[in-house]
Amino acid sequence: MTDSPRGPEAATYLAEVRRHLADLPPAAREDLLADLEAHLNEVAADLEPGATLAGRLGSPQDYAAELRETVFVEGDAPRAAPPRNPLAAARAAAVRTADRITGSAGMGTFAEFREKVRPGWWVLRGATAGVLLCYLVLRADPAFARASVGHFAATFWAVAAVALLGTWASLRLGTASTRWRPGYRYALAAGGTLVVLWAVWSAVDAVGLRAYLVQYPDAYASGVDENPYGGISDVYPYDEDGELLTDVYLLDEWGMPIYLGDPSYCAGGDPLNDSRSDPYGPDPDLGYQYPLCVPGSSNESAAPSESASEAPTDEAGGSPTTPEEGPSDPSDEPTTTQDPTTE
Amino acid sequence: MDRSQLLKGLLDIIVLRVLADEDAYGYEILHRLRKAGFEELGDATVYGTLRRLFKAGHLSTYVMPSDAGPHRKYYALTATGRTHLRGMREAWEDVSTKMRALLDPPEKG
Repeated sequence: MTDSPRGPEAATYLAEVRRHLADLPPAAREDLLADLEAHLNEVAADLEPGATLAGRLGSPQDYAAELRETVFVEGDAPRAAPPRNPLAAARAAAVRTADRITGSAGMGTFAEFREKVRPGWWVLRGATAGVLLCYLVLRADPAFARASVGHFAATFWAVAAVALLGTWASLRLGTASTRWRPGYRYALAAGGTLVVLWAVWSAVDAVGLRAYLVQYPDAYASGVDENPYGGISDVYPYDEDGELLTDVYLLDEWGMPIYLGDPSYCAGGDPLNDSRSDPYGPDPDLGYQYPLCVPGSSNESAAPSESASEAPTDEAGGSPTTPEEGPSDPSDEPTTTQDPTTE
Repeated sequence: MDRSQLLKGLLDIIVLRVLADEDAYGYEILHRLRKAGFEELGDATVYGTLRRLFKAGHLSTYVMPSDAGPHRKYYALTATGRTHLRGMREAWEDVSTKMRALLDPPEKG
């Protein structure tokens, strides 16, 4: 009914009146306003040239006040009647607060705001479902996924097409659902929320998967789905002179500690120093100090040569124990030594 | 003095009576009221009263195209509307008689 040239003026006036009735119970307000647009258009069409709707009818605020007084003349619903049970009261208070927030943002009542946002939600829900579907398909078949990564452009357009299809289907579903019973609509809303949450979870998961694929390119393809360094129990770093480095921290490219092995369990040996068996665990910023265990205390300890493993003995001059005491017997009181003076 | 409060209780009977002889659309109803001297009744009041009477089943509506501008919604009295008008009118006559007697007591003689 906005086919008259005065349409926009009537629409603006109506929006103002609606704003001034925002505190009414939604049902009562919508009932009041249901016909008002047509009526205002009628009035606007009858206006003399040069006259304005506000000039003819008074300010929207006064109009709203008059309307309110007239309709509730018999006191059937002067205001939103205070709800009887506390749950309904809390709900009404929440709606009032939401109305105030959306109203102050210039979006009308919360119900109006929700109406405006709803198609956006449908688009988000549908596109997300489409992308999620693609992801699940790729995820299900690693070989197909690897092939798809090779044809990036084709994969991109295919995913976009599926997402578009999902959006269309979601919009169809959304418009159809406005005629559904509330129970079905709630189920649909819950389903949509679940899809989006699932997608977010999958995205987080996928970032991890990508990092995994980059780190171990062959592992995923060959189906070996485990850390190739999982069997390692300790790390022995050596410098270019073949000398064993101690008190070494390993950090990844993000500065996160790399934890390998178990400091509380040294095969055939003892923890190198007290800090490694500290009950509070390793330094959260730096992680374990490597090597974790006394090198040579077990038979298969990694030592490239005799000289190399002896080298740290000389380096550990600051140790309170005498270097000569160490090499005497590997199993002799290793707990008293504060550095790898064995072999 | 502001008569709108005084007229509030009479809105139903006023609007129903204006529509009793001939159907009309919103703006036309307002014109008839103006002609009858009810200057203080605003558009919102009349529109609100129409909505309320329609909801109560006293009025029915139909849409007619107009020569210029949008379609017009015409209001017509229903059977219950006529009954309501009759009842209201009886009440008004009663109150009116008593009011007149109260304000201008008949000379005792």
